[in-house]
Amino acid sequence: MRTELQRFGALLRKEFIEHRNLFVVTPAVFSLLMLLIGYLIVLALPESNERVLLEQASSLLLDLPLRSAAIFPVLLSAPFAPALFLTSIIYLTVCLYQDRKDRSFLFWQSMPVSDWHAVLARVVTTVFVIPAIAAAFLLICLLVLTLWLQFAASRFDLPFAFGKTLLLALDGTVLFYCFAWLHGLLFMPIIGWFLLFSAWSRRVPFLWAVGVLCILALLEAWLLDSIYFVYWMNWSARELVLGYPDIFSTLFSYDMLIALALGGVLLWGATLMRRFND
Amino acid sequence: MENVVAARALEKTYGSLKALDGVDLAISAGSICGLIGPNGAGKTTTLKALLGLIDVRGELEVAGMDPRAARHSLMQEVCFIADVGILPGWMTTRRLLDYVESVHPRFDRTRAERLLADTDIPADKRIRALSKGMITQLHLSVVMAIDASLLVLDEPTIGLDIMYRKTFYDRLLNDYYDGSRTIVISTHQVEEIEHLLTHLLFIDKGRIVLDMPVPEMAEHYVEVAVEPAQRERALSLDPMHKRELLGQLVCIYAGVARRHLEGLGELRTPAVADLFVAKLKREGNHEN
Repeated sequence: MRTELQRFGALLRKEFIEHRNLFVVTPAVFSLLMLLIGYLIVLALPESNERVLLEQASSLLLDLPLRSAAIFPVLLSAPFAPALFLTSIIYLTVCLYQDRKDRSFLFWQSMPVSDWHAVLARVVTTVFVIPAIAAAFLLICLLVLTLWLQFAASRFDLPFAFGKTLLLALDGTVLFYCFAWLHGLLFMPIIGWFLLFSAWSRRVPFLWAVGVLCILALLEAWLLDSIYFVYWMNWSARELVLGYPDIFSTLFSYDMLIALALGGVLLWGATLMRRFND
Repeated sequence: MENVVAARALEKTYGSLKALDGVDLAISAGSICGLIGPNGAGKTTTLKALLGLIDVRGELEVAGMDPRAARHSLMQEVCFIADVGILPGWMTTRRLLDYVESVHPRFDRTRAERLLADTDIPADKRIRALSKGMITQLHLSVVMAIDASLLVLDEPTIGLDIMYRKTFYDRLLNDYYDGSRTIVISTHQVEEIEHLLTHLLFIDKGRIVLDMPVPEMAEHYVEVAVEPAQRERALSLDPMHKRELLGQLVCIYAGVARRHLEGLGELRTPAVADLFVAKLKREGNHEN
């Protein structure tokens, strides 16, 4: 007899297989772009400059303490945040809409899976699975970069802290993953919002979700003469790109509590929409 | 016999349209029930209500549960095949079996694989690449491997050629129906299933207009191919429906004892399709 956890695992597996092109292709394209840009930069450099650059990089990696050097992989992971956001938004927009559109919704509903579990599987996929795939690609990028640095350093007979750089790559990937799911939890209202429109709208769920957000912001400015809504969205965008908060203090903060409560209400709405949107 | 489906005064409106208008249902365990009605009569709405896919007003119990409150628990007892291919096109047959095996505690994968072995359905092809007939066969194989007490079929063979339609119902009867399971079938192709049915439900404009076990129907309704000489007498007995067939008057009588009809011509039990037309015209809802 399968446990609830195993059944939930099956839902996550189904989400991954159904959307694997989206989950894998977007970070893969970003990774390739990053590597390509890096390669083109190196190609464009005169050999003397390449040597200087390598000397500086290798001495920094050798001299800096591990904790301080951790900034390098964190900086390199920055372009992955928008990729992750883009993938998540596309996924959230289509995940409850597509099966209604192709009518496979009726098949999923004929299985003994509650609507709440169906919605929760989408949330877990967004918060934990998509970032894990992006983190895997980031790790590949960092490993390729490490190997290239090692190769280039040996070409110029320079000392290179291979083990330390490898450790930094792993450290950066773990940090990226932690920040990614932390942001996922912090942005639970956005997740709930998009799932709500994905479960509700009959056409163009993305335009509905974004359009209603804009209308709410305009209404707030017009009726209440305030811009808290715009402020919150602006803060969210900055947090997404630049925010690397302390994990534990963020996890147990009031911001997180409010985000989870508001997100919970919206997810409950999405569940009801999925259940009764006929 | 215990009822698998019990509903009282079901109502459902879409804007100003009453899709269900006080529907009462009682479907006993072990029956094969035909839900028959014209387009827009409320068949699919009724079936969706039984499956907990829509919210309706009224009392409703399916397999001892309220579908509105416990849809996912109910789905352990109930299986469903809809009018069009609803299987996810991106899945392969093997992945479909993997998924159902993972989430359905009453699914027997070995049985599903045995059933599929009798078909031409490849295991590693995506469902969207299969023909409509194959998709229906696949869905039926999956459903037949689930030990459920109620199977709901909503126009399951629509758009299929005659070979697939025949195979579908043959497999349903020979490999699935065991006398204890209940099957509810909604279809337009009444002629194909009337020999299977043990219970008839006619629905029109959101109302049940006939609810009767088939043996009782055979006793209650009589069709007479009237001899030309008996025409006047036949019409004087107030048939519920009359039509001309190849120059011969054919009448359907409701609640008239066969002994009163003897001598009028050949007596027989009306075909379900003929009774359906007669009943709907009798209700005065449809043009001749």
